[in-house]
Amino acid sequence: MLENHLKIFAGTVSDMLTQLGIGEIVEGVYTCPASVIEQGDLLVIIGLTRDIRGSVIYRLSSDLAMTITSSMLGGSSVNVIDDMFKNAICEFANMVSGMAVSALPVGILVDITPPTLVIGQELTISAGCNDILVSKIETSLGHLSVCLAINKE
Amino acid sequence: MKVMIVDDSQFIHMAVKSALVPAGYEICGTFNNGAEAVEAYANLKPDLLIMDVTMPVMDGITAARKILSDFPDAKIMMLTAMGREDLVLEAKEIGIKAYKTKPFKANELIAVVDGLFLSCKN
Repeated sequence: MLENHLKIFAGTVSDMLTQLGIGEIVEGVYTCPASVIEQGDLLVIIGLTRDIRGSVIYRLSSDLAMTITSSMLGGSSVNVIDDMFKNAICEFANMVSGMAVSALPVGILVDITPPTLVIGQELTISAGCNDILVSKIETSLGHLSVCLAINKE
Repeated sequence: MKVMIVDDSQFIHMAVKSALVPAGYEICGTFNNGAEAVEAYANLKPDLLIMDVTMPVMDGITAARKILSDFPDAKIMMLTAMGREDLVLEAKEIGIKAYKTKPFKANELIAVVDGLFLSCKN
């Protein structure tokens, strides 16, 4: 079940990256978090409520995030972590998550919370959930990890 | 035509402005959550309110209910990443005139807004 949900989130990320012109995307294997979530200095966390309770966490390098936000801003150069950059990368995660929860199987209703952005080196995540799976999406500009952390009833 | 934008993302404020201003629309105010929208609506009386669903403090559906209870003719369009069918239905039931999912292209947004004003005129 969790793997199927994660595939939807990862597939939506891949589709969005393709739309933004970030090519050579390869969706990764679904693994436990420890082996893949350690790289990347930027996290965007979105809470999931109602039928699925937990979080979806996007982890990527600031370089890849700048490429994504540059594309979202119509090709404007993005070289610094300013408010517009932070807003745009949060909106990227918000749009991906909104599209993904809308694509979940009929009958599963999930709301998302506003995004939380965390920036820093050597970040450690403790999602506080009992079911966690990560998908690593490779791009020509670095990778992006999608972590789905769910509380089972 | 005066348009008010309500979204917790400054990026969306900018994207909507960039799409609508060249098409001849005036942005009369930008706000970050539903509570701010409810407070500002009476003063600004926009021709169209474009609002997100998921926002801190007060979500867009709750804000739309409050605004429509005081101003039943208010034109409200939801602009959200959430394309869930139940949300679209709920929005229609409370009197929201249009629903557009993110991400959007400028020409798509203009088409929905133009269509909304056209349908209300007819």
